[in-house]
Amino acid sequence: MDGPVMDQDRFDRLVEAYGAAPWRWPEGERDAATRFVQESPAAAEKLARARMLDEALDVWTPAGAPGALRERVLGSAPGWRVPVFRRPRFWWASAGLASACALGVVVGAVAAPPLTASREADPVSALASQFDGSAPFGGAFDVGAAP
Amino acid sequence: MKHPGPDPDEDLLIRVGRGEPAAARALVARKLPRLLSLARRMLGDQGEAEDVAQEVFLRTWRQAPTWRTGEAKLDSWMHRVALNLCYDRLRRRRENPTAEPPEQEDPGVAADLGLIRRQTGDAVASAMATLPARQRAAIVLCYYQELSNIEAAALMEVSIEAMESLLSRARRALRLALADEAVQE
Repeated sequence: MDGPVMDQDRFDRLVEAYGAAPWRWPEGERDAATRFVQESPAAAEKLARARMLDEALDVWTPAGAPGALRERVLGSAPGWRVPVFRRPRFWWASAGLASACALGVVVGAVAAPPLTASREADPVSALASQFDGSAPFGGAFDVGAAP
Repeated sequence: MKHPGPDPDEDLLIRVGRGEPAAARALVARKLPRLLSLARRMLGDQGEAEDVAQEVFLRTWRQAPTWRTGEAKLDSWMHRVALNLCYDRLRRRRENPTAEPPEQEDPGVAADLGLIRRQTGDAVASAMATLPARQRAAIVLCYYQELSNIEAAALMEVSIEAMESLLSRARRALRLALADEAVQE
């Protein structure tokens, strides 16, 4: 089977265009060019020069894709649902709920009537009430009562 | 343009079109880094590159439900959209030369690299920025994106011979620019 013609001129043009790595060469010419390198010292020299530029090009590696960009891109995809805890509405609702709870605690502490204040404020009355039956658990002290 | 062989991304795109989030996530994981690199190397600016990558995906999402199988490879189509968006931005830059020059490589990213590697990377970035847009595109597609010469030529709508000519001129210019840079240091 006749393969593509590979001579010094074609090899030079190939390397000048695609560089020194055989896997970058056109598929149809790769084998012929690889064989040609074995036979031609000039080809090997050409390859070495091209490799220097390849190595410099390989060094240039831009930054990868940041996570924020990935999220933005995914956020625009059809059917994409942002997780509940990442939605702004979730955070606004949570903040609102937390504020309402905090306000309730404050209002409760400041404005509620002191229902048990008088009894707690007067320890004697509180103790007496345990014996006169007015306390809910006053019976607990009735150990000496007649049968 | 018809493409030979099955498209490895087609199933994924069809699932994206059906609104499957897992498919969208897989497609983004597979394509976003590649497209961002292409735009970054074409434009030399991270912010603009991110805008381009995002726009490519917006258009992909719009295409997904009506994608016609067997007509074009998704990867080629996305590359073509990205390349055209880059050309548009480069054209606008030419028309508006007061715009800020492209930023240099993020020093935070390069901090871990050795000093010589970092300098070489910066030198390559600067040399690439001096190439005409089509030569730059040829190098980016064939060398960095690792497309075959046939795919890259089809994408740029040129013959294989014209593609080889663009590549040769680009590599020659890069070699000269890098040699100049080395002499100046």
